[in-house]
Amino acid sequence: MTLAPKNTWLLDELEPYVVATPENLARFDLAPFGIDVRHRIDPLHTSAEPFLDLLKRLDESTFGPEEMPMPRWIFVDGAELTGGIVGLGLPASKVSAPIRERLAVPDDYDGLVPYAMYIAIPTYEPQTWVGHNLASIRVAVKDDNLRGLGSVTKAIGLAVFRCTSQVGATQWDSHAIHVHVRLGSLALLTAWTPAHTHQASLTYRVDITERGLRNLARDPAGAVEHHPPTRWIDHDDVDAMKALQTELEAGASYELCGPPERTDTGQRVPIRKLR
Amino acid sequence: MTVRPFVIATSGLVPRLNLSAVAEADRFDPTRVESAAILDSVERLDRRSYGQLSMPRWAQYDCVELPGMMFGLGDGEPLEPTAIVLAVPTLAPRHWAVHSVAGDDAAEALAGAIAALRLERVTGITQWSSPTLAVHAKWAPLMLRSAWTPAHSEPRTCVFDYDVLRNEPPAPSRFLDAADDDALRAIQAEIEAGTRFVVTGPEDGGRVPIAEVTP
Repeated sequence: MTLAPKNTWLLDELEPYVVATPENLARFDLAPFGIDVRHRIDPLHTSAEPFLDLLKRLDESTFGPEEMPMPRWIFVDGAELTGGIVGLGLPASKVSAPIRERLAVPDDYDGLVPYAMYIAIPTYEPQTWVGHNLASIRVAVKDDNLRGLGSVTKAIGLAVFRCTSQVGATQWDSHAIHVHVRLGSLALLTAWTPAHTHQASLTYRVDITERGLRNLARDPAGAVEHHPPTRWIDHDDVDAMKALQTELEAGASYELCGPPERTDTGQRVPIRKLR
Repeated sequence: MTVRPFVIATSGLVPRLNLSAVAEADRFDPTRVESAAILDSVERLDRRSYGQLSMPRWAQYDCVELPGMMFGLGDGEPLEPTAIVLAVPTLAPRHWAVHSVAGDDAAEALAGAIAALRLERVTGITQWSSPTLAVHAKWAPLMLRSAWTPAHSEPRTCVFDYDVLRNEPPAPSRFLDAADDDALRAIQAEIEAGTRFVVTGPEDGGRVPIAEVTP
């Protein structure tokens, strides 16, 4: 059954792509939900350079303001070599002027222009991937046609990678949590993370199901269940994060059980104690 | 001080390691707060070794510590790394990618990582002029997958695969000047046209020995 996101424009107009080595392409699902991922880019081929330049600028458009843009070499070492980049784009001839300008698309470029990308790499556990980058041009260029772009991109990406369990890290104040919980409740692996650039980061794991992927893409055939929280973590409550981390390291089990709620100063995140 | 091994890996990976290779290793779980100090030290070593190509902290976490492993050698109390290997799995069994090998005891650290992970095949990525290439070249022949890599911040980067149980490398048929961009681009063009090359040994005076091999 094909994917039917609420915003039909996304799959009616945008074209899916994947950046991966030939060895990895052979292991991917290149027709997830019946969607033909026809743009296949080999990152080690020199012909890929113009498109990879655009991916870098897409990343900067999304993460520059948060001070976590990805150095170019990490696209290779931390994405293309062992994992993949999946996204949606538009042929250059159809790209709007604001997006052309934002991504500095060369005048003589006539290839695909990436509008969103999802990057993930495999772990030592089969079909468990770390997703570490979800970028969307909608962060920088407001366009109602692009509503839901990031979510649909992540859903297609996880399906391409044949991922059944996804691990990720994000910040307690991140809006991206709204996206990630659409897959289901997120098992908390860390609540305070000195290993990360931003210590107020959480690490999560989520099981990937077809219903969860469809829910992520706002397909009416999708659904996930969330249980009521037992407490809330404010985005800036460092003491609470550290205390929660202490509990996790002592063997407690928590899940992030729904979307954040806005507060006067930011947001608070619902969590539920399992044991 | 005696140099000793250490492993930075999540708890799920440790049981999968060759424990006889890491039995005496100090172990650190990057998801635990107590690992912050060793991770700070690793970050400093990485920065000293790679400068502008050093790995941001978030990337070390997302792109190495969560999916893969750091294997290192160090001494002192608290432990101070003298060498570190950053390794992540590919989709093929017993085949990992090593995208950083740094420090004074780099060759020993790489051998330790290969043993701990029971690897059969390694993908390496480094710059033609980097001493890291010589470390990997001890395991030659290195099958080149790219010789000029504009996808990278530094296009004078090569990507290669090698088997741990390796055959004797062939004699070199030519020598690549690591600083000759035209030569690197020319080799890349041949690779993209289907020719296969291997690095046959460490560089000598900035010239890397390679050989053309039949597919």
